[in-house]
Amino acid sequence: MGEPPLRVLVVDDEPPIRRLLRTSLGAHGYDVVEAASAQEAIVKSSTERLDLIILDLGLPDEDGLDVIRRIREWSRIPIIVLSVRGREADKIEALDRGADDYVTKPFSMGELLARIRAALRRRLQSEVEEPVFRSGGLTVDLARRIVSVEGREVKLTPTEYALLRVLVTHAGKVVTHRQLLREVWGPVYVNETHYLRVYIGHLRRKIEPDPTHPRYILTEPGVGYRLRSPDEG
Amino acid sequence: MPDERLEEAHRLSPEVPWAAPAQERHSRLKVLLGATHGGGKWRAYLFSAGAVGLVGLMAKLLEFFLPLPNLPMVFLIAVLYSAVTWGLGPSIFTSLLSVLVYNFFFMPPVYAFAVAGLQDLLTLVVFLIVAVLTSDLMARVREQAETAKRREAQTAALYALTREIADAGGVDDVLRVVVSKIAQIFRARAVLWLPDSGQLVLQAGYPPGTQVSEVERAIATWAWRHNQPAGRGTDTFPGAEWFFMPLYTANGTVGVLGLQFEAPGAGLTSDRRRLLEALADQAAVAIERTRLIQAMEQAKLAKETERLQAALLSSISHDLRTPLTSIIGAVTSLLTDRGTYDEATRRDLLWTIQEEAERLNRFVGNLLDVTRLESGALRLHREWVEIEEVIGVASARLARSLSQHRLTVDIQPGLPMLRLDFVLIEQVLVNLLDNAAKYSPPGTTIRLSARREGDSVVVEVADEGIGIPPADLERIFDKFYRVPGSDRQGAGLGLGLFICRGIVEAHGGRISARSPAAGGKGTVFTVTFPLEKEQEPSPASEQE
Repeated sequence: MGEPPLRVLVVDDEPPIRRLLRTSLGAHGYDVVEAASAQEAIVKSSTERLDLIILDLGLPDEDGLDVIRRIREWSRIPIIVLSVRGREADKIEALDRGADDYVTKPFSMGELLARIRAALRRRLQSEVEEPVFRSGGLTVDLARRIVSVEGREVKLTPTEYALLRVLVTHAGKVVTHRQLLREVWGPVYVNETHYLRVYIGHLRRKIEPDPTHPRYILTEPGVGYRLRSPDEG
Repeated sequence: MPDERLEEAHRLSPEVPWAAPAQERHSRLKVLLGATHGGGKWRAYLFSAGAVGLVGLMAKLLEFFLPLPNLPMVFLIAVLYSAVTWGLGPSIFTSLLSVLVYNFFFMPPVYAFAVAGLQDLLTLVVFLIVAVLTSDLMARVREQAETAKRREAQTAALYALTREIADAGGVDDVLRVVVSKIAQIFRARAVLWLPDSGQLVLQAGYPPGTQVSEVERAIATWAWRHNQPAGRGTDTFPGAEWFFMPLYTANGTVGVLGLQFEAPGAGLTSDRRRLLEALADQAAVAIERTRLIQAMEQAKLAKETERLQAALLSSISHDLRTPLTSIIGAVTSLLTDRGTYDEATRRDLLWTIQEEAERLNRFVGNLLDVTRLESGALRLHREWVEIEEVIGVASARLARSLSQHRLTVDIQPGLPMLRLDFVLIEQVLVNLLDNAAKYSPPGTTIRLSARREGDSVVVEVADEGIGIPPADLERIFDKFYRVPGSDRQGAGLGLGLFICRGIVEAHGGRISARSPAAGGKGTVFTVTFPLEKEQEPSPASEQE
């Protein structure tokens, strides 16, 4: 391609995790920079030319959440957080503070790579608006407001469409319950999770081949929803 | 009050630490003098005079029938009455008055005092003897009655203490009851020390929070070491503010009781002392008993903890090592491979590594969940949830483990939403599905269903596996419990169902198992969630 390789900063205090990511990401053409602490992460993120940061929340010297806040003071670089199951509040907090996405440890490399690609693509997309979204058999034409599954057009109510549109604009990324409620219903409704459940249910029944085992609108337990990006298999 | 002065005297007489005999003499004297009736002292003399007057009138009437020398006998009634009713003083007064009245009104010359003759003297002596003897007798009777009353009060106090101790729960409760009861009975501040590793530790006080100075503490320690009362009212440190009494049983001293009486000079009468000793004995026995029970329970708990730790260790070493063995085996095979494996074999080994690593991850998750459940750190993040969504996420997470089985999902349409912790309920379903997959042969069907039953939503996971013996149906939800004799291969830590129960019950739901299920085989796990009384407000429906 002739372009310089994309540079990823990996922030984790565990050397085996850093080694794993260095090897795997390296094999997929990324240039990996490493940091073992919050301090090092902040220094490297301000001195190195970087395209993406992978940040572990459990750092020895400082809370990973604070690292997000500090980096966000000057940079919009995509940040993917590594967190463990059972710390859903941390994930929501990370997303609220400006993280782009999270991956739950232990993660599969395929999943992480897909999230990295989705985050990088979104950054490019924000400059060039993509009017038609495609993932598997799902097509959403944002310009003409047409949704179709396997070539068959699907009728959506205004709320259903608004919900799907928010998910499409963040395709591949987790959108928290609060964010969805705020963008679709308005800031007063951020705690009305049941609205969301009802409409996600409606939407799934219309666009999913098997609503119990959704293929497009994925549930992120305790955090929110994610529209499967075209990068994922 | 003479009482107080006497008490003071006792405290100052070191050779009689409790000064009981003097106290006894004193109270006896009080009774004899008729002082027990307190303010009625003058009334007693007045009534005595009245009685003499009355008897005098009677004698005047009888004068017509009785010879004169018999009339003093009539006055004896007044003397007796006075002695019985008012005691020594008034009865002596009555005797004198009677003799005077008799002399004045009856002895010739009537209505004038005759010169006291031998008969007068004799009458007076008889009257006095009767007065003294009778009032002494009555004083004894009264004293006995009072003693009986005090005994009764003592017995009642003892009984009350015993009963309250019996009602008390642990050592702390017993100590609290002992100090508060004794403090109330003796109108004093009370504290209780128990020895702990060679020194006394203040355990309870009444009123709560009562503190004692270092000096007093040293005296208490002396009382404990020498097993003798010390402090105020004793011959050891009599200047102290507190009185200390060791509590002991046949097995030794269990603690020290301290009392600081409310009234500045108040001490203990012998009765009170005996009562205190009796109460202290009760308290000592009770403290010793609860301590023994506590020690026994601790020993039992320690044994149980040891057993659980042993179970945990054996589980961990077995259940963590099994997947690790598979992983290391597969990895080393791949690393040492010199091209002998075909592509299918290599992929098979890689799949093994992934599956076993995921299993390890579930074990660790379970261990964490158990810790959270047991430490009370499990906090529910309830939100409105469609059970269908939870089922979808759980079955997706277990897709690989379930790949050998057929999974059918049957969800009744239009189920109401539930307010649940999504992540935890997903964990429950994951554990139940994982269990079903582990204990039923490949190729069989696992049925997952959800339906409404009255005011609850019922979720069931049914397998066609080996089933569970009826005797084990309840115990499978216990920690580390595994059906005896079941194949350990692939079995978990025995934590999965324990976690399920903990999570479901934290939501106010129920979980149960029945086996064999329909068709005479397999097991059905049933989870029941109560519906919220307030249903969620539905968002307004709209046009497409």
